[in-house]
Amino acid sequence: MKPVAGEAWQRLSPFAIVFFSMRGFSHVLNLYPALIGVFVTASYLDWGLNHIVPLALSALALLILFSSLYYLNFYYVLAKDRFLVRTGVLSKNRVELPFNKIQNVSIKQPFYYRPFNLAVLSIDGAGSTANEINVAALTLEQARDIKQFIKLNLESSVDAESVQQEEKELGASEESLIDRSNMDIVLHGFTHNRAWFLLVFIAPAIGQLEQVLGSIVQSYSTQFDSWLQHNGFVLASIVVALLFVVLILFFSMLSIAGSIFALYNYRLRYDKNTYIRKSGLLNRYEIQVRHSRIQSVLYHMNWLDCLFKRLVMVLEPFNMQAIQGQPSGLMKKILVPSIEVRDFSRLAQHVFPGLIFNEALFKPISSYYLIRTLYFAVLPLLLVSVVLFFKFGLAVFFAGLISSILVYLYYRQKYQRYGWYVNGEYVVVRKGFIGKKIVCFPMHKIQQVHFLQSHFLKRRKLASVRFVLASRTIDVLYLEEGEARAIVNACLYDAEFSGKSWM
Amino acid sequence: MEKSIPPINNEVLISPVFESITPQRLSREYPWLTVFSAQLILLILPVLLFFLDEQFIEHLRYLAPFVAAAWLGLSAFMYLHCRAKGYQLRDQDVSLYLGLVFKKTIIQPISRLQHIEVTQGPLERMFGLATLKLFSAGGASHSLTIPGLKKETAEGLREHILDSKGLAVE
Repeated sequence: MKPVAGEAWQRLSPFAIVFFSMRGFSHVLNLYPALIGVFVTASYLDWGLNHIVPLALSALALLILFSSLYYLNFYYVLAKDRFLVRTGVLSKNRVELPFNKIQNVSIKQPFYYRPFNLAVLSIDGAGSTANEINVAALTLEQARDIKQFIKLNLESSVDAESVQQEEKELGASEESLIDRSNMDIVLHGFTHNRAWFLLVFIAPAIGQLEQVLGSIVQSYSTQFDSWLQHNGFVLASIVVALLFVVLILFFSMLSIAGSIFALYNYRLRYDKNTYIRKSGLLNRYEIQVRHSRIQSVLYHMNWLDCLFKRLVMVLEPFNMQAIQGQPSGLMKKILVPSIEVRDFSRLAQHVFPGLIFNEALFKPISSYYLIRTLYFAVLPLLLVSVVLFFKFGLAVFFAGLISSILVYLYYRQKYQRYGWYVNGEYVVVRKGFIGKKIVCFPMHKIQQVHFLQSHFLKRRKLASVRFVLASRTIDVLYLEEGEARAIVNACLYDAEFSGKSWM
Repeated sequence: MEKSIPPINNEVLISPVFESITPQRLSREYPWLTVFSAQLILLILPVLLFFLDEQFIEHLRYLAPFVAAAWLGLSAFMYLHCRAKGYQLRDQDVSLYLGLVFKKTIIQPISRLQHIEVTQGPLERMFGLATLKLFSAGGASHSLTIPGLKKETAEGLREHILDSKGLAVE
């Protein structure tokens, strides 16, 4: 089958309904916290299978109905120089994608299409996810033909010449940067547990749990009751501890499962000036970010990561929402899960050529950071505890003393984590408490610089600097005045005179 | 257009380091404008008194001098704070100076600007003032806002920045 390069609107094959249904289903699955709410309500209303099955079936029917309507309203045209798509049941959309604006054409094969040799043709527009078009349920052959057609037409257009040239200059070779094994992904799911917020949704169920436990305990003999009276505290604490462990295990399992779904077979490649991340168990997700769009690189090692000596690296492009007049939402960050420090320095050097990443290079900030804590947190706390000592006695005084020591130790630890250095045209800043967050960025990517110096800082010849990037804001506190000035001037020089673009 | 370009100190333009820039004061009316608009809050006082019961007002009588003193102090601080603000334009960037005790210098390279706005509120119009807003990709919270400029100065600054070669046109 040849793609028709005419102007007639075409419908998809009815198999596309499966694709739209699955996409709708995954949208629903993404709302899984809400599903837990539904589950809690269902158990509260004491619904049995006789309620749940018809409800689930009608939900499925609705999903298929909507998908069918969407299918009936989905038209596309492959014209000579552009791709047009018309969608929408109630509110109509029309997307027009000229070939020279197409960034990437890829053929996806979801698992439910594989047996039928069908495919989804995915066309990405200039840089943003809003301009993505998915043409579902083409035969694999058809999809390949269309891809070929777009490529051929792109090559013949004038705009493509420069692209081709660019490719040649760069040596269009594709480079594989890093793969992650299943072990790494499980570890990432464990250390970066994002399932905790589910607690909020489960909280209403905890009261019921208590009742269930109570009834279980009561259903045992009176002998047990008397034992409970004697060992009440011990038993209760054991039960609570057990529950806690079970809860942690449960959430870790959830988080690990989520991590496997999203990150299975993780692969980061570099092709034609673009970082391409691919991963996913059931469906392959792909994120692309152009090299020049990356503003900063984040090294994130939380306290659990510290145990395994692993870290998460994030390549941060600019925040599209921050730019006026750009309708699309956030540009996607590229996350590299559970890597070792040497991988980080290798990848960081790939993103920012010439950057030397070495923790030995970090310079501490001024100890005024600690003095400030002493004045504003520790001494007031001590004062309060002394006053309370006269009113309430020794125990309260010691509590105050211990908490002020803890506060001091907390800030001392944070102070020791604080560090920064300048390496060529790059600035590297480290922060953290037990874990650490390190941000690296090139000076010419700054959007704005703040130089802060209070009266007190001036007396000590210190100053703070704030770097505003398009991806994030970075503060470096209490530098030596001269150094702070030098770094501000260097950043300004790079942004203003080097002629390097930030985008 | 020539006459609307604000007076720029040549010495400033060639200064290679940001710390040797001498800031320009904002318009003299600007601190008064701020203090005046703060006083508009007092307009709701009679309304408040109408709703409060008499016993509470009786208590208030003793507090009133302190509240009045605090209000005066606050207004004075506002005045001084606004008077301490300043700005300067170099060929390649715009700086804003803020703060009495906690001093802050914000420097915005022109090559990183996305767009520029001149706005004028109703009160500002009464005083003949305008606000210049410079937006970069650093986000709306980091837009550089220079208040209290004479309308012509603000327009002139905008023209000057738009004309300068560095502006990123996207």
